[in-house]
Amino acid sequence: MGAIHPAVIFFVGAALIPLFKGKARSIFVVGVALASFIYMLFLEPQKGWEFSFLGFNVVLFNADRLSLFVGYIFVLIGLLIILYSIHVKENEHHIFSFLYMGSSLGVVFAGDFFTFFIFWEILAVTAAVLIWLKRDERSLGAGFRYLIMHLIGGGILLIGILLHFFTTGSMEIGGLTGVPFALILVGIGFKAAFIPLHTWLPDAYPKASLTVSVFLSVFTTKAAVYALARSFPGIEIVAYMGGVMALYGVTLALLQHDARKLLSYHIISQVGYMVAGVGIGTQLGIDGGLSHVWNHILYKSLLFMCIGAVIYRTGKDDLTELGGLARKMPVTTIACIIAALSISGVPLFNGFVSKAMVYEAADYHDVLYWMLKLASVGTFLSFCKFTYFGFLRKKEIEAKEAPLTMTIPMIIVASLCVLGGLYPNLLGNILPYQSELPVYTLGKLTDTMLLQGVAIAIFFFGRQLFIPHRREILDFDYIYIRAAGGFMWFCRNPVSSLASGMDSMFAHLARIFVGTARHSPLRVLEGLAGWMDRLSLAAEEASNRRVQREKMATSEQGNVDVKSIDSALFLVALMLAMFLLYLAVKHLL
Amino acid sequence: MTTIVIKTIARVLVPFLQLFGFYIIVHGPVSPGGGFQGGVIVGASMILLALSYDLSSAEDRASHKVRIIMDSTGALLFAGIGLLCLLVGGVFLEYGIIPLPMAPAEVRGLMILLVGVAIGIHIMALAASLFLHLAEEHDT
Amino acid sequence: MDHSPILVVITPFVGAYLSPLLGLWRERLCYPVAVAAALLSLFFSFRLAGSVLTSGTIRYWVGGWEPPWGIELVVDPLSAFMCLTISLVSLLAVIYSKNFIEKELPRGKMTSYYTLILLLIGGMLGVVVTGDLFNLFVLTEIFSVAAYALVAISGKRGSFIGSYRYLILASIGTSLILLGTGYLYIITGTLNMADLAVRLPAFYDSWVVFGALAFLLIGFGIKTALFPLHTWLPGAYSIAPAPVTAIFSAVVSKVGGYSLIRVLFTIFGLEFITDLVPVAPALTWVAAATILVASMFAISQTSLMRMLAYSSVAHIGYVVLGVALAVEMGMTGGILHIFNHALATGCLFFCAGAVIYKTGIRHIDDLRGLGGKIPLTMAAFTLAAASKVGIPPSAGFVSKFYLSLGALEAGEWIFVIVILLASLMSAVFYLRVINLIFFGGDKHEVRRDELPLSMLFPIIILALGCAVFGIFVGIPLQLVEPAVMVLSEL
Repeated sequence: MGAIHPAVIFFVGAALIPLFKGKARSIFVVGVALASFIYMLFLEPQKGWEFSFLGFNVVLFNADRLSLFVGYIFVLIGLLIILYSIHVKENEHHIFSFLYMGSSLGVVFAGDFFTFFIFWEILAVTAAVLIWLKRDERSLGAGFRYLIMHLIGGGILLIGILLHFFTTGSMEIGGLTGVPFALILVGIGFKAAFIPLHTWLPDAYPKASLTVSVFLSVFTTKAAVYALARSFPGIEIVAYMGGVMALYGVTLALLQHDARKLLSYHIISQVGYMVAGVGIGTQLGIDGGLSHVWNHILYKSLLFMCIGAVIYRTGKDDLTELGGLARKMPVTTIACIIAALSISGVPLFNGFVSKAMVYEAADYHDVLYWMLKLASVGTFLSFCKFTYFGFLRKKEIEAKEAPLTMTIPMIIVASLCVLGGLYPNLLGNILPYQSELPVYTLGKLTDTMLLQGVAIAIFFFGRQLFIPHRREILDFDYIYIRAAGGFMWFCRNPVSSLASGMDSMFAHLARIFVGTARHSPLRVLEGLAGWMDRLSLAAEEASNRRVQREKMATSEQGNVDVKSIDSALFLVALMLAMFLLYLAVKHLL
Repeated sequence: MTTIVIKTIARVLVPFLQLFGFYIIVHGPVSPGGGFQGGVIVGASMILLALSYDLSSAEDRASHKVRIIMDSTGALLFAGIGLLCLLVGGVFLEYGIIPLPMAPAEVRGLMILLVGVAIGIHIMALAASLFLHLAEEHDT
Repeated sequence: MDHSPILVVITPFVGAYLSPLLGLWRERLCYPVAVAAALLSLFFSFRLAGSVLTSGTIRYWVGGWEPPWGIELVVDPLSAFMCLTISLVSLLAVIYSKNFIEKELPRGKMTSYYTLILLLIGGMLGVVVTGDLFNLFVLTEIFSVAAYALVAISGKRGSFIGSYRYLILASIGTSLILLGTGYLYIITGTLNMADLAVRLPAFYDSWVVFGALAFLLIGFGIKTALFPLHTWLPGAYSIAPAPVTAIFSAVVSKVGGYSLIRVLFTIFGLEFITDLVPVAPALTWVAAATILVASMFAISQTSLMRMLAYSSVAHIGYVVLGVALAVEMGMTGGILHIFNHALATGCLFFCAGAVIYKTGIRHIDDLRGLGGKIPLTMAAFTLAAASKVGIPPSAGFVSKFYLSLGALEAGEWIFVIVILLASLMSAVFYLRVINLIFFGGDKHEVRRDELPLSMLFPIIILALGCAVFGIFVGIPLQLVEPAVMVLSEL
């Protein structure tokens, strides 16, 4: 069997959580996370837990440098977020966050497409449950849309995997060509928030509870980036998709007033950098993308933790209502500023390091390079907006510093961000290709400073432009919701009135037949006229939505109409007639 | 519409019908007929009774309870004979294997007779029930 | 000599005739009799499965008469598999009935209820073990008649009309089956299935054979509730008592499917139905239409029972689709889905019955917040729904995975899309329910109170089955794989 799969620790932990209560549960939860972290540190690259299924090899546990690298940051940040969310009293929250993290580790250590797919789906389901745990109408809807999007993506991925298995006869990850290539790319793209498949992200994350959105900001998209790095390194479309994501995310982020929605769009934008790095596919590119995964997880979870602490104390998450927190919540504010500097790519913070690697790798792709640079200006601008309007500007607000269980993880993550910036080659040892880039060169520094100076200047001279307003920004999800609503309408109205219309029409037709037998041919004409009436009636019914629905609700129970016996009889007769006709024709030929 | 003519004819006919039914049941092993046919005839005699007199006079002779008991007993007797063959080492309904002091053919004949009687009991109750049960008044 | 083939059938029948006798004396005794009979037939099904696995197909000559003169019972792996599924679900349904029936049925109906349900079980078990086409027809009639009566047994408003409607349609079906059987007998002079398979190829160009095939197809199509012959199903399902509905949707319609498989594969043979007359390809399209249309109907329902009923129509479509693809993977998926779907749908109908038992709720919108009241039941509901949607690693996922592989193996990638679309639609309507149950707030005055153990036990067993057989797929596959081998060789 080899070493124990790290996901197992979380799954078993989740199963045991209901046995504990109160303090004991807190200790248990943190203990499990700590255990998995320590266990992970001693994990060697290996393959294990293999068995044969359906004629292919299922490898549950495949740890190589790439998966270990992502695994490290997952368990590290998992430990810190669990500490951060220890104040939550619901058992369900802890159970599902454990399952969620466990399945993300399952994705990362999957050694074949089948295992990968199974954990991929569990990841989506557990995330949706986490969103639903907020238990209000908004989160219900958002979680529903989230899950449907991910199931669609999962389905596309599954078809791709099946086709791949059929054409190559192997379930191993990689070596994709042709149709399965496209399908799997799109399938992963749903989770990696490719434009325009990203709508679930800014939809669901701001509507989840404050701790859940910290969890969500870390695992789902990063698991997808890992999947891209494993199966699609060096695909040009992917690289450009990264550029588009970076620009699109940042543009929409600038327009937001909901703090967590702004951060959510920034996830898309930052994931764009990682996708670009992976898509470029050189050793430096992949390493850059992946170290950006690591750094991004740190500062983005820190940002969500900060805004979570603010929501915890003030109950507000709208930039139009926030401000004046620097005095009231100093630790949170400082942590937030550190995170904002990191995400904006300011030298001496970790975001700068990994972004520099991605830029360096993208140097040969002019368009992509400038897309990423432009996005970084936008990032800087929107974080000026975020910190200024959210924390620094003068405003009266009721608040006090967050509790220790929240501030401690924030301080730890913040110091990791700074550490990553001060020692840029800290990650070099565990990166898959161990590339080291001298990031603090004069050229790079001046380049960055110049861009950021421009950004600061824009922000301070045009501050009026950035004042957050309450407004709805339409994204692609408008189209999706419209389309889905249309489909539901289609099922509820035309389809069901088709069913009832079919019933009554057949009943009428049957009556015409009876009429022909009994009376003169004139009756047939009369019957036909009646039938036409039916048709127009059915059309009218189809257009009248509410009436139809009420009718369905009332005719639900009991009143079974005997008409449909006629229809069934008629159908059977029709089929027989067709069969006889077929026989006759065949016989004549 | 029950006139004296009908009643008289029915009174004369019913015993003969039943006797004929039993004859057919008992002669099942050696001539055309058997449990089913005979049972139906006996059951039909009860229906004739109910039609020519009234429901209650038929009910008096074959009450709901009696019909249920006959119905179940007949079916269980049939299954029992089948299972008896299993007990003595044959397959289901393999009569010849039952150890009786007779020739196998005779054992077979005897068992077919028994099975016929079982089916006859079952069917006569059933046939009567089909009519009587539907005609009975229900409290629903 | 192993007598399990006859014992598995005869036990429920003996129970069925014992219970009215005992019911005259003490009505309460019917329940233990029914449970004992169902338990015994489950035991014999296990023995049957065991001996089929070790020694291959069992042929049992009733009365010691050699076929084609005598009646032959043939138990191949498929029959054993069906036997296990039927007797398992039936046992659980009978156990479940205890409290439900006491509350939901009028007084004095208990005896007839248990008698009828045992007749239903016996009839279905008979259909799957018999090797004789005419026997198959008779036993189909037996379980159908029991089914009509069970639909009407509650005596509530609409139950008679519903039952009558079911009766009319299903009788059309059985008459067509009889016609088809008669045609085959006219031309070949035999009714034994194996014998028919041997003699039929000589008459492949005869119109009578085509006619027989068409009659049998439509007849069993009605029994299986394939679109557009499904119209009897939702009405009957939503009227019958919940344990009966669970048996209906879990196994009764599957028995129709089983008969379809027997007719197509055992009697007519793979070559005839795919090459000479393209029945199997046509059936795949019918099944695909069933899956899609039934899913769309299910979306538009507001009553829980009707929604589940339409969803189970869709799942019968999966079974037929898989089998009609006539490739190894597809048939494996289709037959496996019989079992997996029986677990899931049985559990769902039990849960819906539990909701009716506890609160009387039938509408989906009223389910809001029940998750806090009967949490175990609702958790089971969720598991079973996940299996029906096909979320890995549930049992439903495995069979859908096989089905998709089968569709690709047959080169019909369009069916993969159909399966995916239908799964998405089912995700939509099941998620809506689960959402309301667990996260939809709380508006009931009921206090937290689980079901009686006799109802909870079957629910939990089936829900666990949905999870366990998603991971340990090998257990049902032990029977399914040889079943597919036997079918595709013929």
